Amino acid sequence: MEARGLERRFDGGRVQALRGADFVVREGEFVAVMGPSGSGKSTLLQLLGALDRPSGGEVLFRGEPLGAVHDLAGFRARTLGFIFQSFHLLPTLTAAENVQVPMFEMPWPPRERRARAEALLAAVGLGERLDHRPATLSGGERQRVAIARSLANGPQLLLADEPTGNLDSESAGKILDLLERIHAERGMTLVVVTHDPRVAGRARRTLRMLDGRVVSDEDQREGAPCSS
Amino acid sequence: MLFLTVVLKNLLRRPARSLLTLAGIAIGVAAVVALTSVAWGFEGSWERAYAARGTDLIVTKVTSQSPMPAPFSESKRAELLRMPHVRQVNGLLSDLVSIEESPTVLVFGWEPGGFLWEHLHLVQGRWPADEKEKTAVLGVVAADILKKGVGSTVVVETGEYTVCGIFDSGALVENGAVILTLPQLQQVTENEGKVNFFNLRLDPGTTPAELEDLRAAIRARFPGFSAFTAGEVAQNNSAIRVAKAMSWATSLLALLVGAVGVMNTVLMSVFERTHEIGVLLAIGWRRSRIVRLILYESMVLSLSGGIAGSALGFAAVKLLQWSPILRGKIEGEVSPGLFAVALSVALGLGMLGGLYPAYRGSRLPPGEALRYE
Amino acid sequence: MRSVRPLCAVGALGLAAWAAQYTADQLIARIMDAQKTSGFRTRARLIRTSAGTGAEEVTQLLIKGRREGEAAEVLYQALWPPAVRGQALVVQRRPGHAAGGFFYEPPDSRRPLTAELLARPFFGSDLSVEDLVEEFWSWPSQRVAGREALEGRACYILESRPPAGAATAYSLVKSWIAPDLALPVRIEKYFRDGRVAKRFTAERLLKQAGGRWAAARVVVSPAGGHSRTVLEGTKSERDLLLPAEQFTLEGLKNSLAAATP
Ligand SMILES: Nc1ncnc2c1ncn2[C@@H]1O[C@H](COP(=O)(O)OP(=O)(O)OP(=O)(O)O)[C@@H](O)[C@H]1O
Ligand SMILES: [Mg+2]
Repeated sequence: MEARGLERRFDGGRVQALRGADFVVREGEFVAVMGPSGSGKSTLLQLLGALDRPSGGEVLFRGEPLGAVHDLAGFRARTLGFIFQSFHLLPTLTAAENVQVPMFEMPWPPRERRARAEALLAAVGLGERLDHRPATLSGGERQRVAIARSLANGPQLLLADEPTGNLDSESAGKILDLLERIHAERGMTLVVVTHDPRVAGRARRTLRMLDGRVVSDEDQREGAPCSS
Repeated sequence: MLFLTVVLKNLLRRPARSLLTLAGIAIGVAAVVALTSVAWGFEGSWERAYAARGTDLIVTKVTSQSPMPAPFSESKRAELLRMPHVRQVNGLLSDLVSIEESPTVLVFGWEPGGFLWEHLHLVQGRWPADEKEKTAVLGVVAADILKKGVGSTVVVETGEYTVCGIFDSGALVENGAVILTLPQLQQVTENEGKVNFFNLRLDPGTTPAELEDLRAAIRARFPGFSAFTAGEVAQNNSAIRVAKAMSWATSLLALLVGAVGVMNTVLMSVFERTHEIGVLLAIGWRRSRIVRLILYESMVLSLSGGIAGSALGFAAVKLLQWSPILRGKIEGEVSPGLFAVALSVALGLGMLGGLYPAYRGSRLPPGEALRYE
Repeated sequence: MRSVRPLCAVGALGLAAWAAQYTADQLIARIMDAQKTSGFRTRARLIRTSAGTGAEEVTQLLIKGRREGEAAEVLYQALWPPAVRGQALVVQRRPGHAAGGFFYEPPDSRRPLTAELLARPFFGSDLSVEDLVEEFWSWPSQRVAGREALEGRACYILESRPPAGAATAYSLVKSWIAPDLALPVRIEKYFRDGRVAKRFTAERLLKQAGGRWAAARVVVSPAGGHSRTVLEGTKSERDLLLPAEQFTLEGLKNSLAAATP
């Protein structure tokens, strides 16, 4: 996945959220995006997830510009998984049902949807909480349901916007363990926007943003900066 | 989980609001069901009455205002009998009369010995012996309403009559009626020598084309008169026409209110869930699925309203049938056809009310919707 | 230029108001003209309700009228219940004379309208026989006492006072007349001591075939509020030619005999 000169302006150009961001994320990488508030992290993530269109530049996925993808919804459904800071589960549905919501876009019969949801919830350690509604779950549990939901259709790219932002440090640690484990087991690309240095510590790479630009790109494991 | 589960759970999120909307639709549909069923039932009852009488054609004066055609001279009978295919002609006088303590009762004057009597089934007593006898027969419902039995007297206008029999007919309009001999009713209503309907029996095997010719001939021969088949006479009755027009107007209004209610509710829930719709788009739902979700919600809402409304409407008809004023005059027709119509109307309402909210919901840009809290 | 339009409007309003001024005589003439017919037949129900028990007494009535030149006759006959069936009040009017008539009771009693009879209730209702006989609009003293809107309808208030020595229980009758309907929509009758004796209210005002207005219901509320009576028309025909014989003792006797088994 590649960002080329990404720009995003709001309010007729008065707000410049992104001012030309360039970087490459290789398949299977775990990348953390850090930066002060308002530096454009969430905006960047929305562009990567094709939820928004850039005002300039382009995002390429496996070499193909997202602007040229015909069926963006289908692309999001099959290829992407989203995790949000405040979980965004549907309050009326149970954990198992929430996990099944994205599956409507797949050609699976109800029975299979249910079986997959149960397996995913078991994988995130909520096998006992299938029929609980979000209101009866703790923050950490909710985020785990959200993670299970993001995995519903077997995504190749997982985008998380401050997944631990609303959690106490203990739950945050568990969520990080979980993300790390999933990344290791399933081998998908993982991009996590965060303020939390511990998250960055676990990622292989950290992109730092300032005023709508990527200002540094460090590869922790190898300890050498990687130019993009 | 089924897609419908999501729909239902969304509706149950605000049960009071959904219920109120449902009630709004139910009332609209109930109005439609009650009014149409009464209008159809009334028509159906007359049709059955004419069919049972063996009447092929009804000749009457065209009226625009009063529910009963004005009386005209009986002398046309001879001329009608001379027309082709006409086999028998029975004159009759009918009127709505306030009898004793009851508001209005249908009173018939039938020719003694005419064919109209043949289809009635005597439950008790006997038929009037001749036209001089001051006797009346009562339909079973009329006897019940007026609280009369064989031997009691009933006062019709200035006349006092001994009830000599109680009869049963297939049709409610006749069961709710008092029947005198034609001369007696003519005398007591000061309509000597006059009738307001002729019932005609035609030769067996008269073709539809010949029937049409005969009707044209009757209209030409008697200006201002009309010849109806059994099915049409009810349709041409001004009271039924007014009732039908009113039922349509009321129904339309009720439905409009229902549709606006659905639209309001669904639109509100779409606005409330702007953020949620953004999430659904983010996790890969197509816009068409968002449209479907919202449309289904409004359709489920209105369909349940339609079912509740149909039940309510049928209950209302039953209640109306037993109300003192309408007892023995209306007969609701509770048919599967009407039920189907009511449900499709409700479904249509749901579509109509859900279309705009669905359009609005599906147009939300996902990024923006996500930021919206 | 601007002020001209409102001025015109005010002028037109003033003109309209001026044109719509009626005198007492004109109002009465309007009503009389609208009611004029060669003959009529009305079926009505007289329903008296006691305020305490809510019990209803229904009397079925046949009301017939005929006019010959300036003379007119009206017949009020009870059809039901059996206790009063056939009883009838016949009122005869001739210009320049006090109203006359008689009360018929089967089989052949004919009683003149004495003061005692006039004071009696009409078939047990809150109407007195006098209410049907005495024509207060032909009393000599008539004046327009003002105007008032009743249920959004502009009405003239007409005050009618009886001449000295007239055989009436009332000292004043106020009628609220809607000139556009040519119909009184409310009438109040006052006792000699100035109290309201009863109030008549016209309800269910319906436009008839010839553009004439008629009330299908008249509610009579007597002072005290212990009861009320509703006179409700169920059917009406106009412009009939009814034989004079129907309004005589002989005619009443014959028709009753013919109508009874
Ligand atoms: N839809 C929008 N309309 C107007 N301005 C916007 C919009 N979205 C983002 N912005 C602005 O763009 C800038 C970057 O916003 P963004 O949400 O990407 O920051 P962030 O790095 O995620 O901040 P935080 O760490 O606080 O979440 C901010 O100044 C923000 O106000
Ligand atoms: Mg952010």
